[in-house]
Amino acid sequence: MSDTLKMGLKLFLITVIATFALALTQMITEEPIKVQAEKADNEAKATVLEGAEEFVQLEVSKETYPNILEAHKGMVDGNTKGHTFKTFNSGYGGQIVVIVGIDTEGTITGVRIVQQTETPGLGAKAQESDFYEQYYGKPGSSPLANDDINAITGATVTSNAVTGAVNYAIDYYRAELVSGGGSQ
Amino acid sequence: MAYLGKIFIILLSSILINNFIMSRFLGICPFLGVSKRVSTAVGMGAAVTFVMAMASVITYLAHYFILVPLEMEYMQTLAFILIIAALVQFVEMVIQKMSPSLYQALGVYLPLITTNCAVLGVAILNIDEGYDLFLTLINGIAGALGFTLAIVLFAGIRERLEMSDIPEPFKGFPIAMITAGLMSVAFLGFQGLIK
Amino acid sequence: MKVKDVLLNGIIKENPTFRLVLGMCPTLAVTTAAVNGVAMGLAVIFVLASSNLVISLLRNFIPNKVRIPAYVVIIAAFVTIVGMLMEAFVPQLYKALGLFIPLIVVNCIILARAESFASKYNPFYSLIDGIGMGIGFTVALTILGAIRELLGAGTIFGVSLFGQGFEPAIIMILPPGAFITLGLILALLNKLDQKRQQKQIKQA
Repeated sequence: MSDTLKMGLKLFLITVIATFALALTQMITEEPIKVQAEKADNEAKATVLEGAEEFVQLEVSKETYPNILEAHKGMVDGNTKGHTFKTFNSGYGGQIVVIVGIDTEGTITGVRIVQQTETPGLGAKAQESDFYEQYYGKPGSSPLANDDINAITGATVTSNAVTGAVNYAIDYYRAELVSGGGSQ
Repeated sequence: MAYLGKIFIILLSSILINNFIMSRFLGICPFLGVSKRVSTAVGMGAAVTFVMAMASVITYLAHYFILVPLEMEYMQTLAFILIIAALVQFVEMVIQKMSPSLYQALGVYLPLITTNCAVLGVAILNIDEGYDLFLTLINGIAGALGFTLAIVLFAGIRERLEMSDIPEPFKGFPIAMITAGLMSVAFLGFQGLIK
Repeated sequence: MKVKDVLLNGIIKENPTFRLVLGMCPTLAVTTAAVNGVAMGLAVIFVLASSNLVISLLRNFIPNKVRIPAYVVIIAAFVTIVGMLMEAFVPQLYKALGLFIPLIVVNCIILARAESFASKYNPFYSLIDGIGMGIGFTVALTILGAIRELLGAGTIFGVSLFGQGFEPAIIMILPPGAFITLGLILALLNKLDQKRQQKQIKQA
């Protein structure tokens, strides 16, 4: 056997073993990763729409609403309590994913940032309650303006991005849910 | 029109605002290692631009036509680094055959590019950002141009520094780091450019 | 060769960050807070120790000419494994470190140790060297992260130290702060070195 072939075979063997090890780890960690992501999502949904116990996923057209990742109807005892929306927008350091809750009255009941890569100490402060509680109680009847929210010092881009993400939820609410009498 | 605008934003953002070295910290090793002379910095920049553009396209194709159909996205890191290593080796061989003079000029830097995290970084960023093939190519080139801009400017400053009277403990890496920090302050100024 | 010497070599004498100035990308990028430094360090310890061990075990099997691709494959495999484990069990940290987990692959410290240590010494020493270098890296990142967090946000490990009156210097957690802090630390170490050398000369 020539040396080159032997070399190639050895390298190939190492790659095969490495691939095998990865596939194995992937099988072990696939479940926990899914569970973790779901758990984080469910916790966020429950905090932004307090009182809702069951969440039913809604079909959202990707074409009309490209920035909505998921929408859920929150139920308690068979009655609709409100809706939660998982939306995203481009922030300063990458995508910001937020979960927004809007009740049947059209009031914003909660906002949580579930994923962000903003600058620590600046944009990352969007995760603190001082910032996101400003959205609570705001009407979902019209889009929010950037001035409605006091931006985080030194992180206007991040603040506006969060407001933008909340507005994507408001857009959907106004177009799809208000016309149905809010009872859908 | 919207697409053209997107191209423009990617160019502006990758070259100036999110400069690979100055704000993303990708490719610091060659930035510090190969920046003593402007001429070598230009050579390194050219080699990196070439490899980054090609690596962007090939890793894009590998991701969407091999890894995704096979549902092996978790192999991304391993596959990408192998592609980059093979690509660098290939580029080295081709340049050696086609243009010995260019090879002489770039030769030393080529193997170093494999461990330049800017190359792997741009490949992963392209996939994360969900760019299509053309935008991937644009982003690869823009990122590399940003790298070249930073390393050439830095080399220019370092050439001058050599003639200055620097306090003994600051000679070498410390003053290089502080210089880079001051340059990074300048690059921060680009941040208001978009939005 | 003593185990203690191999271990301490990586932590002090050849500290990868402060002495060898290797692996700068993650060092500068993730040290916006002390806790990120610790997390990045732990991930690197794991990868460095495992890859050093495996490469040392295979040092007679891997052909010399293709050793770099072979090392890269082994390192990439461990990096992906550590990434998946972190995503599954410590998702918050995984998110904070982001892009820099896959980029451990191109951290020059790991390839440098494979090339200059693991390919020459037996598996046990290689493992110890990996752990020592990893600890050295972790310590350096934590110090850097703590300084930047303290000056830039007024906290250490998230605990506020100065109270309300402190106006943090935001520049410290922005990119320039990373370069400047590291530059000053390196200069300080050089200064201390000089003093020690002068003392030795005087004594002699």
